Amino acid sequence: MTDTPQTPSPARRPLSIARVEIIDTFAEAFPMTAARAIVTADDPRWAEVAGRTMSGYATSVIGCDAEAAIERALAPEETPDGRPGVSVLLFAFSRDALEKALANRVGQCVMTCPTSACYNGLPLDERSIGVGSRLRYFGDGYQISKCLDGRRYWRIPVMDGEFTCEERFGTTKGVAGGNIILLGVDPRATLAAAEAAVAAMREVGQVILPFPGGIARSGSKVGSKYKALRASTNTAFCPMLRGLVPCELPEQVRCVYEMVIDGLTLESVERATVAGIHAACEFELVQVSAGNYGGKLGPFHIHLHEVLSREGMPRGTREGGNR
Amino acid sequence: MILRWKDGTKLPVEADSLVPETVAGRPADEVARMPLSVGNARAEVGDLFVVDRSNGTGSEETLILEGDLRNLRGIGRRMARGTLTVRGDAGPYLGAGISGGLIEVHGNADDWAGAEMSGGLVRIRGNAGRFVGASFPGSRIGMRAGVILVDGSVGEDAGRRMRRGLIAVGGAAGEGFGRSLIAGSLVAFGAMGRQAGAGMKRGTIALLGTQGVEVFPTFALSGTYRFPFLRIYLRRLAGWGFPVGADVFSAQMARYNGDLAEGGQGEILVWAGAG
Repeated sequence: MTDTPQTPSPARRPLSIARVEIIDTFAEAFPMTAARAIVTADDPRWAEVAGRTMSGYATSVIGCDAEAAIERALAPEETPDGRPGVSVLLFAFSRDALEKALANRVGQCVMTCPTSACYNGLPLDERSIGVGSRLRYFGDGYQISKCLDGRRYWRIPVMDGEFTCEERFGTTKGVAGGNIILLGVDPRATLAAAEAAVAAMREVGQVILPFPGGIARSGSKVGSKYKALRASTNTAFCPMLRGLVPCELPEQVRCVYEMVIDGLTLESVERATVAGIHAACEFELVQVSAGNYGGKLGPFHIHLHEVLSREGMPRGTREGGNR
Repeated sequence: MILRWKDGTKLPVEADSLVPETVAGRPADEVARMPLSVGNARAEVGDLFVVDRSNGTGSEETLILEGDLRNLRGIGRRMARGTLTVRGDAGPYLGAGISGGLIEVHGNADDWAGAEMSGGLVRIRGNAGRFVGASFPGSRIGMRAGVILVDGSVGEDAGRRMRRGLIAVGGAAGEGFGRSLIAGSLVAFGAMGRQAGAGMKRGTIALLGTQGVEVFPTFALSGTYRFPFLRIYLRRLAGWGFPVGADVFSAQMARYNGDLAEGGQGEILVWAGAG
């Protein structure tokens, strides 16, 4: 389940890209505390294994301790220890929650991974959180600290040598819950559009798409007929329920995918939104929309028409026309 | 500001007061009247140096000393900020006890360079004498923080009783490198004298020279590893412009735990071949 969706607001001004209608609505995003972990290893494969493992079960804070994913692969010259690596972004509702989630994930998923090391990837200030400072005790008294340029590293003895982890990680106020929703007729074409959108959004940098492969198929609405559940399937967007419940989908639509975007800045989320829409519209879709809560919950409103016009329209864009 | 040595005396000159923060913002004639101890007598800066303010406004905390300054003792001693450049050889106690700023020597430095310093960076482009970053006699702790970079070689007892910080030596190191080390990091790229790390409690001595090292018998070999933290240090050294060969970044290092006579929480890492 995703943490964003509600029904999109009704279209007010038609806009289409390559015959795909862009609904005049907005994605509603929230501030979340973010950290960036630089995970390195002796070779790129193990760095990716560590990065993927530490960002497992981190799709939505509805049910996970954090939202996390690999931001991008890093060349050796981009990492503190000159080895290949990946950068991982993590988002949580508070610094305390992020500290706990990050330390747990680094401890269980990175420290356990062969040849790995983990470093902070954001500037340090008074908002920084402890990671290596919590994990060091695993060294049982044989841990060693090294301090260079005001940064402290902990060297924890492990069975293939030692695990190096930076003591503190910087945090920043990020933006989580940006999203686009792709509505299509053919499931294969819709999935292909979603995959292309994910690839384009990942190129932007400073953003992650925390769901499997960057794509969520189980959009949720707030609440449920079952009292114990905070969220349940977004019935208005489930094609199978057409005729049983009020449906928000055009008649021909029978497949919907959502891409949730978490970024370090609002600008990066907006750029990812634009990149994703452009890439998706190369495929056979009916509409591109976005999920929101009517603007009542999140302070960041990413209006699709506005960000598209700000970034410039690609060829094939028609404003003021209909499909 | 530039002070050019007149070479007017061979007596020892106490140069403690010649630090950037004391000359910044002062006019040249005022700096020329600053007192200095020469032997057992007193003199003024202007008696020993040509004071040249022509290259700056005087407001910046930058001081350049030029000439053969081997009989100047304590150049930059207890300096806290600014940049001090020595164009020539420096006498003993260069940068001893400094807590901040940058001292750069384009030449050699005598004994006790950076002794008991607690911050800042001391860069010596040539060689340095004995007791680099060490503790003074009777003192329990040597260098407390900061960085000393010696492009050339160092004499005996570099880093003696050092507590924290980094000393890097591009060339050879004399006997007792890191002797009685309490903690901190020492890196050397040249030949190594005897008794490196003898009596060390904690800390790291990384010996990246390929000449072979005779490790003290109270150290125990634990195996050969690549250390990510060492790469971080080497990259930082390269960032400072320190001569670091490309082959050391992937070096395999033999780790010796010790000194076992002092608890064995320290380590000597010895070059064991390129990765």
